[in-house]
Amino acid sequence: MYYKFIFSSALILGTLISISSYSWFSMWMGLEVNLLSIIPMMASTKNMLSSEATLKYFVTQTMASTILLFTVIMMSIQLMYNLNMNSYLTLILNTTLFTKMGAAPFHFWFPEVMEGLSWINSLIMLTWQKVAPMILSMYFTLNLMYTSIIIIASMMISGIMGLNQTSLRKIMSYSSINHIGWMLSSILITETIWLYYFTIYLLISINITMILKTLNIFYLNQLFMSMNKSPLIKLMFTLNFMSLGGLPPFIGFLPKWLLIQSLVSKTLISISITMTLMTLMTLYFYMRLTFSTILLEMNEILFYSHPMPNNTFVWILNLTTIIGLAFSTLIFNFM
Amino acid sequence: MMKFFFALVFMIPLSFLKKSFWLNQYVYFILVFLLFYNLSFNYLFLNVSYCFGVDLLTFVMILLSFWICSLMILASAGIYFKNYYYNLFLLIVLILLISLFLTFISMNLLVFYLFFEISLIPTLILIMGWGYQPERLQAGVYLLFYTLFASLPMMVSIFFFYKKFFTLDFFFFFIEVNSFLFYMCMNMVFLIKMPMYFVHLWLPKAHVEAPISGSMILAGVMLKLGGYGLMRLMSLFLTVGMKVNYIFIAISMMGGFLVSLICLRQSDMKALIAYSSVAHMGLVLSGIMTMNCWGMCGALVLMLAHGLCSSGLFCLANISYERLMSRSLYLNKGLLNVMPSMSLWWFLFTCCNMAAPPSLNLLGEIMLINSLMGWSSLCIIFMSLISFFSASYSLYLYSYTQHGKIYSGFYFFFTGFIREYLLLFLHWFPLNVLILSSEFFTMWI
Repeated sequence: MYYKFIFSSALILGTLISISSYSWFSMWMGLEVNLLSIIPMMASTKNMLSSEATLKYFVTQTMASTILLFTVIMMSIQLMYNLNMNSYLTLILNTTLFTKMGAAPFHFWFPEVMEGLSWINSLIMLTWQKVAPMILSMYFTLNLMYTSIIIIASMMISGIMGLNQTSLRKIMSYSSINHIGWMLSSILITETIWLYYFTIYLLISINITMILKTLNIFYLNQLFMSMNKSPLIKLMFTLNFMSLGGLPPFIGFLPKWLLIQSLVSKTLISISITMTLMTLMTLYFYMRLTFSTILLEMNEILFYSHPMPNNTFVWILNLTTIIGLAFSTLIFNFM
Repeated sequence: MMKFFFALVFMIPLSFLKKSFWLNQYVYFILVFLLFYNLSFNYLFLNVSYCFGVDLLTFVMILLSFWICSLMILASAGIYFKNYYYNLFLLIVLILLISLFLTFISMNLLVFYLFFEISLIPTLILIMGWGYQPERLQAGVYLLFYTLFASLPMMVSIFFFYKKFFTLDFFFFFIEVNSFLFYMCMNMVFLIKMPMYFVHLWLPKAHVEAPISGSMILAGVMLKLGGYGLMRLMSLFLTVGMKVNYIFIAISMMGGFLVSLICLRQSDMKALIAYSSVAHMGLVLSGIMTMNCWGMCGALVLMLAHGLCSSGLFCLANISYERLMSRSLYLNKGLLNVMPSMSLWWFLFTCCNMAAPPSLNLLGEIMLINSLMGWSSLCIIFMSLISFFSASYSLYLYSYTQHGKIYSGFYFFFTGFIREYLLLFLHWFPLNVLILSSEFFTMWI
């Protein structure tokens, strides 16, 4: 098990190399270090699906990295003559980064890879693996038209594809694609809001995946049977999904609020309306996850006891994500 | 108003206390009593702290919310007796009341919007958690998505408004925005919440699936949120309102008539009352849309009257439901034979629903007739049809439930509890006595 410590520090190191370097080549190198160190962490001898997931992830990411490197070389040849960052090569560069983060329509690997992972690896895949490509895409001006298409495609595809999923990992990955859409729009205008958005998304994701890991839940129907001993804790847990959907009383509303306000102040009104309305589709499948809780007594099997998550842990994390909006202004004291 | 807010916040631990059901209810009544000390006949915002303040319109609304919430607890004693998560129920009602309270007292459009949205979640939990049939899932999804679909464009337009005019305070809402798109984005959520005819489908669905407390809060306060929001925002849309308001008046007058006809062929008591609230809120909506003084004041009066009256009717329907385990009008027959005293309350509430003399409904309808007639004399056609048919469906509800032979399929029956008579009295008394000080509702403009 010790190799995981090495690889996880290499994983973090790769991302940090990539986002703090100032040449495209070392950015590429950081991405590769990151990729090569997550591969052994994903592989598991206990699970047959994980090798498939590992392979798929490796192939897509390597392909994206190769094209990235290729584009960078092409650009360096071109840049000797003119400093045109708006050339078609930038679009290819964008595309490789979008593939790496899993934005639709380059998302096809993402749910399938997620399906073969444990919850910890899923959490890494949902959050940390997005950091490097997103920050790299801040380093050059995104083409507004192209990025808008990607954003709307992410919103639509995640909304529609997530509707008939029963696997929680797939639901989480489609929800992640939706959030990628939001985060891309924040990258378009204000990077600070990206930081808020990502932090809060990270918080909610940690909360959800950790509790699901503790209870060993992977599918929707397992939620019906779990945590029936205490409906209040179950309610607090499932309200996280509404927080993920961005409904007002929860912290998930805060980044959307900030983001919509700055989008509107940049007069990107139509895209913000489109995004908010498309998110309603994802909200529908979040709602489906909360049904088992909100219908207070669906089934009550008294003799069948599932483990309950640790109470203090659940309370602290859940209260942060649920009533966090009321205390969100405290963030500004520290920034 | 922060004192009431803190009183409510510190009631959160109280709702977790075992056997604290009635204690909570007493505290709500004490809060209503304390709230009366803050009565002031002033149209300006008083008691201002942070971005919260109270003018007369707000005061009426928060009084109604506190009142209805306390009566909700009184009406849902079944939850307590059956020990069906009553602590969670108290918590949800409390959160709902806090969010409604903050919605009404906020002086800023964004804060208003935020708490408006927050009040949706406890309502949803109330309907889905304590409802009766499996179809409550569908009803909850309808409720949530109808509202959210229109409210997200409203959020975008709020930010747009802020960008253009640098303020979101209600106090400064004398700016005129002459844009139909903006008008629709801002008002559609209120039209859905009211609900206007065409977008009312979520309401009967939510009502028939909701428990009694959910129905009471929906009919009593949630629908009024829509009217309240329109009243606050209408001053922005004077120019564009003159051009397009006739569409909404026409829809809601015509819709009120059609919905009254739908009422006459209902077999479900709760659905009937729900459709009747669509008709009444249609009147309120058209009163607000005329943008004259009669209309605004009449809309407020009818909103208050409808909040108390239809909440009381839902209580009555629930009282029959708890005894017969059915809401069908074919089974709830001849109740006069077994519950003669309850029949009196049925009579009084159906009378109020058809706007019979000593009730606030009458005052509201008269004021709205004045307003709509002043706006266009053609309105008299639908106005008279709505008035007539509201009388007929109220009578239909009364005579079908009270008269006739009793249903032979049930063998024992328990008559009304004192709690239930108290509940009905507390609905009826303000409804018929407040007319003595009706100047209270006309001075807020």
